Parts: sequence; C-alpha cells; structure tokens
Amino acid sequence: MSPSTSRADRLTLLIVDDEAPARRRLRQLLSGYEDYECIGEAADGLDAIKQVDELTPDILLLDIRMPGMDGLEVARHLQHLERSPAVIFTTAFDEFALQAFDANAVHYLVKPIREQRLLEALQRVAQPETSPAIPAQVTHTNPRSHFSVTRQGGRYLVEVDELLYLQADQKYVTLHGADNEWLIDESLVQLEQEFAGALIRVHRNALAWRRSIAGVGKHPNGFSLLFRNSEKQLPVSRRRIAAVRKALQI
Amino acid sequence: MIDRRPAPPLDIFVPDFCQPRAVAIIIIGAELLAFTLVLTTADSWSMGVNQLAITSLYVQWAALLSGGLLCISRRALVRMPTALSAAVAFAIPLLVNLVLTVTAHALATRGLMFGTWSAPRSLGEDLTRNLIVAAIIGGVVLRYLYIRHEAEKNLAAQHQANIDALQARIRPHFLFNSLNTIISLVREQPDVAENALQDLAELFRHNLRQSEQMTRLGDDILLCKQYLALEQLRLGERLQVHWRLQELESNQNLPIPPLVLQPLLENAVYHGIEPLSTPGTITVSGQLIDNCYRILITNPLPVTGRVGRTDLSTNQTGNPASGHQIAVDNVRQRLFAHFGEQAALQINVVADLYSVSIDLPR
Repeated sequence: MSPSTSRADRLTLLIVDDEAPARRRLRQLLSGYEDYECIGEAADGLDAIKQVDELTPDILLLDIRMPGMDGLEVARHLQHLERSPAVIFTTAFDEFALQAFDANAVHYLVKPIREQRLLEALQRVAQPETSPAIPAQVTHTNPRSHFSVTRQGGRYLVEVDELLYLQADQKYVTLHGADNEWLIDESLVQLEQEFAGALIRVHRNALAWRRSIAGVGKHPNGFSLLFRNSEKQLPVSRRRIAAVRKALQI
Repeated sequence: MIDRRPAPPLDIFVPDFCQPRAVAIIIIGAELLAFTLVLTTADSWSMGVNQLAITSLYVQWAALLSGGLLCISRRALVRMPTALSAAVAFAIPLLVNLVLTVTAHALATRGLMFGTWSAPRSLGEDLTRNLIVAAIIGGVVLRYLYIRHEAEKNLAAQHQANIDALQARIRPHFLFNSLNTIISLVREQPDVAENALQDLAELFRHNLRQSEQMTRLGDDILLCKQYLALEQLRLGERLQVHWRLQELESNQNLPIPPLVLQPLLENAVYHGIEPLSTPGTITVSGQLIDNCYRILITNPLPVTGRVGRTDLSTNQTGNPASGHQIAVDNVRQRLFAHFGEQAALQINVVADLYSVSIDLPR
C-alpha cells in the first residue's frame, strides 16, 4: 500500500458502454492522467447500476444507446441515490435528444471522443456547482424499462415487462406483478402519460398493461380483468367496460 | 417530441385566390379575355372602345366575384374529395355568370345602365352565350391548375425520395461508431485498424457511387462481408453470422443491383443485434428457385412486448419493424425500378425472428 496514491485525492470513474472497443478507447484516454482512476466497466444499464451501488464512483461515463436499459434510464435511476455520481453521456451520433441542451446542463461527449474534450468535461463535472441535476426532459424521454423500488431498506429494480397493472391508493401507486406488489411514490396520471399506448385505464384508480390482459370476466356484481399467467383479477368500472372491450378488440 | 416542421401546404389544386398576386393575375386575365371578345366581334374601332368598356365591366365582375367566392370556399373545398371540389370550383363561375347576366338584364330593362349598352339580345340567349364561355374558360383554367398541382406534388415527392435515398446510404450512427472502434485499435492493433479502414473506405466508395449499374452477386457478397467484419470488431461475440450461400456458390456472376443486401444487413445489425443483451445470430441464406434466386436475411427481433418505447435515433415507436421500414422501402423501390414485377421483397415475422427475403431474376 502506497500512501501517495490514496483514493481520496483521485476521482473514480465507471465506464459504461455496450461496445468493448469504446470502453477500451476511454481507458486508453484516461490512462495518462493521475487525477482520474477507472475503477470498473459495465456493458449494459443494469450492470452499471449494480456497479454504481458496489463501487460508488464519482463520475460515470455513460453510453446512451445500450441494449436492455439505455443510458438515459440509468441516469434516471441513479438520481434517486443519496450519493449519485456525476454523469457524462457519450453518444455516437444519433442522440438528438441531448443536443437541445446546453453543454453545462447536460454533459455529453460525441464519439470518437477527443482527449481534450474528455478532460474538459471531467474538470467541469468535478465542480459540483456547475453540475446541476440532469433535467427530467433528458432522462424521461423514453418510457422506462424498470421501476426503482425500495423494500426492507434495500433498493432494487422491477422489470416493467413483468407487471400486470397499476393501482393508486391515497398517496402511492402499487405495482402489481404476477406474485408480488411494490409501492412507488408517483402519480397515476404521469404513469399513464409515460406508458401511453401500452396501458389501458380500467378504473378511476387503475391502469392495466395491455400485453398482460387475457380477457374480461363477468360476475354478478360487475366485470373484472383477467390476466395471463396469473390468478389476479382487477375490477373494471361499469363506465369503462365498453372502452376496455374496444381497446382489447373483444 | 415536438414536430418542428412547418405545416405542409394544403393538398388541393385550387390555389389561394386571396393572395394579392392571384388577384392581379385574375384582373389581367379577365382584361385579356375582354380584349379577345371585343376584337372578334367589334364592327369598327370606335365602336370597339365602347364595347371594350362594357365587356370589361362584365368580365371583371365575373372574374373577381368567382375568385372571391373560391377564396372564401377554399377551406371547405380542401375537405371535399377531389371530384366534388372540382365540381364546386367549376360551378362557382357558372353561378356568378348566371347572377350577373340576370342582374345586367334587369338593370338594362329599367334604364339604369349607363352608356350605349342596351340589351340587343334576349335574356335566354345572353345567358346561354355567357354560361358557355364561362364553362369553357373555367374548365380550361381548372384543368391547368390541376395539372400544375400534380406536377408540383410529383416534384416534391421526387425530392423527398432523393433525400431518403441519400440518408439510407450513409447512416451516421454506423460511420461514427466504426471510426470510434478503429481509433481504439490504432495504438494496440495497428494492422487490424488498417484493415478496418480499408473495409470502411470500400464500403463508402460503393455507398456513395451514384451508379445504379448491376454488380455481380459475388462482389456484393464480398462487400457485405467487409461490412460485417467492421461490425464484428465493434460488437465482438454479440454478433454471430451464419452464411448459407452454398447453393449459389457456382452462380457468382448473377446480376444484382448495388446496395441491396448491405442496407438490409445493416438493418439486421441495428435493430436485431444491437438492442440485444445476449449474442444474436444473423443468417444469410441463398436458394435457386425456377427462374429466379432468393436471398434470405434473418435476425432476432428483440423487445417485442414493449409497446410505446421510442427509438431516439429515428423518433419512431420502438417497434423494431417500423425502424426496419425505411431501408426496406428504399430497397423495394430500387428493386422495382430495376426489375418491375419480376423481383419481390417479402418480410416475415415469426415469433421473435424477423426475416427479409428478396427474389431476383436470374
């Protein structure tokens, strides 16, 4: 152990990119600088979140277009962290979403990345006052692929594709999977907008995922929605039954 | 996403008669018509001047009123089917002439008309003459406007097609990612980087070539292999390619239009392999059938269940099939331009596999 290279005075980085050559390129660029230490690499969004939890890097070099969970969604989930890393997005060309923003509001680098540009961006994010939170317009451009939930003190991700429906209580929204439920602190209206087209409103306080619906059942006291791969049922309000049937084309 | 493009012009052949320019043209056109009518009928020059005055009065009224009515009714015309709007646009001048002729006769019989004009003919005869003239002029003008509108539409469509073709040829995403890959190789594996740059150069040479001349199937497949070698460097083991072209082995000289296979392969990589977290396989197979040959490209179709996810690069819904569409349409158009009905392009989606097959005449 050499005291001269203590981690305290170096900024730690995590490189996130689905392409190995792109990760290698960033490592090459960083290798010449004492102030920055690359402490890990992740090849997709989920891996990135896991590694951020474990390694708590100061800075994330985050590719946007990745399989599974894209970089924008990674940034969205990381914003909930107490100690969230500064994010520098990296893009090849196609992410017009970022170009609308001032480089100071959202740090991004276009590939192939120049050494000088990388250094400038690293220096800027190192000063917290110039690194405000990433605007929601950036991270909320796509419907997310995962929900970030807290349970028993731990935080983890629930895949959107596993969910059957959403139900609102007084203050919270409950995510219903086939066998599980999770609470999130968001509004049903916003969720309906985010997943527009994929969700059907079946009740004043409930939205169901179109792909998970098996059909509509009739009971003496009303109608309920039946789901694929689950015993769960969700009441459908009489006012909406016609609209639901039409949306499902049954 | 906010659509920032300007609203497209109304798709109707009746121009906007409210524009000052249109009003000026109507006035000039009407006056020319009045001249023509007087020149062919006036007995003497001195009579002609008077006749021109009174004819101009009538024709200007008729023309400007028709233009004004067309201007007011344009919004309604836009919503009608073309045949109906044409009928309405044709009827307006007739109606105007009917009203004007009747009014002029009423004024004349009550002695309210100034000058030398008196109605030498019966109302019925005047009506017949004026309506026939209005029908002929109106019909010719409408026909001209319609043809001009169609020509403009064609020009715009051609222009858009040219832009689409250019964009289909150079996908910036691929270029910059490839350059990034090559830069990462320059220091540690300069020979690999050298090869990759040569492949890239070759690919762009073909992509930018304007010629639509046929190439040999063997050459085109070589180009596809060079392209996939570049993607392989970038994606590593995530990209698996199976070539099943044995059946076409002895047919390397078969004709194929340039850039038919490569854009389809690029699609397969972009929409089939890149969004996949696990390795995926692209299969390219060839078959001889009767008097044509078929090439089939198959790739995985990820995220089928996720409706409503948008792709940042295309601003389209994330349904991978829709992203495929641009290049596929382009290839289909070019095949049609070369072979007409003799070539075919078919898309098949079975479970989580997407495949494009093209049939080309031998």
